[in-house]
Amino acid sequence: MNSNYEGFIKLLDLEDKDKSVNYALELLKSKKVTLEELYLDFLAPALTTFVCQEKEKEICIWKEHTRTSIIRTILECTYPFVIERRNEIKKLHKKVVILTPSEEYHEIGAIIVNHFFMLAGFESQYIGANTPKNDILMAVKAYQPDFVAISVTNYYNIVITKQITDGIKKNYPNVKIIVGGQAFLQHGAIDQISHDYYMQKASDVFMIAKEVK
Amino acid sequence: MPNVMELKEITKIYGTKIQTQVLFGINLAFEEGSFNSIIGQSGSGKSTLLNILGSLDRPTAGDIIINGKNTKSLSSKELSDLRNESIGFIFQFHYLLPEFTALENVLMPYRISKKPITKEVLDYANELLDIVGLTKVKNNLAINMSGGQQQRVAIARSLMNNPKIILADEPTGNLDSDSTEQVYELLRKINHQFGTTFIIITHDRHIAEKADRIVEIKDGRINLDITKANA
Repeated sequence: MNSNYEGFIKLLDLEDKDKSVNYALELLKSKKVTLEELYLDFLAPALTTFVCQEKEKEICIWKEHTRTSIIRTILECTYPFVIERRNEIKKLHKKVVILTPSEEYHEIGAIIVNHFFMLAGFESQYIGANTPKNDILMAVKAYQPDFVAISVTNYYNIVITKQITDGIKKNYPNVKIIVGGQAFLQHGAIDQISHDYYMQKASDVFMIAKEVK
Repeated sequence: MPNVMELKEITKIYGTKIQTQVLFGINLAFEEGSFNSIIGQSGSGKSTLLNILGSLDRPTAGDIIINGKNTKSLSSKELSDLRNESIGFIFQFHYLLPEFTALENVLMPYRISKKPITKEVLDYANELLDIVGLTKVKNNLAINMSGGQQQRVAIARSLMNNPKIILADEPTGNLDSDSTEQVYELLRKINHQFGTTFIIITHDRHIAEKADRIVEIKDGRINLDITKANA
């Protein structure tokens, strides 16, 4: 664990947005951490390891959403750093569209993955959360990506994800499908979805990049 | 956990001259104490599946095993007995008898079986009404209750014979979102308290996403079958 993580979590526990954002950005500016480290070792675990205290059970969702809001702000604030790094990276000339399916509002993972694709040299487009199936198929038609990456958290949304991936495979068989997210940890979920790549962590993007180089 | 209900290679064909196949070789097993949802578009075959699960209809081919008993060789009477002792039903419409009170409606499955209403039976019916939160209105006529209350009476009624399995067909289909949440909490409470297995056909996302397992039926086949890792 990075030695600065504890300090970061303390600020998040206090729900001090200003200090949390400044702390994270300062780590980047002073090059104490890389963008990848910030995403994988700070932001992702701050969300996935969030545990609600017993006495706060009734306000758990509120607290989780507050934390998510702070993480999202930090994530958006790192975009200039992504631009700066991207200028130094050799382009792969491969397009990827990233999204979450309809009714899926958890999008932090998808945004992090979007940044990772950019850092790996892809031309990456995040088209948003809660994206209806037909709009996804239209986006694939219009944007003509090489890859579509779908992030799913709520396991019920595997149902619509199957419709989406079946639709993409039927209409655009050359487009490679990448899936990832908490929903695929449920029994049987990944086996029943058409996909070419299953990402268990955001840094798996670099393995895909290596393959297409 | 052992399976409380199993379907093996179930097919269902309606009609003789003009045949319509509704189910195609369905294999499904439900573990004791599990909380399952079955989803699918209208016409997908899910209601036919529920009727077959509940032994209200016989399949054209295949085996149904309820509580370890293969129903194929059972007579209508034996099948009816197995159904009454093993399965409780909850429907979208409550089918309460309007001129009877909540308590009398809950006791109805017992009255139908022509067993005497002992003190123990009456106490159990009252306990069920307490579980569903209707003690205060137990002597109200069903017709004078709200939709949510009527459905809760129907849930208590489905438990009267201590079934191991509850089959529910759109149990929240007629309810607003608050009542839907109350009914879900109630079904879960029963699931935890009695270890009752639930198989719920639903269009309601809020019910399906909280189930431990989602089975999607499409064109008479299982399109998707996922179980929560911690279920």
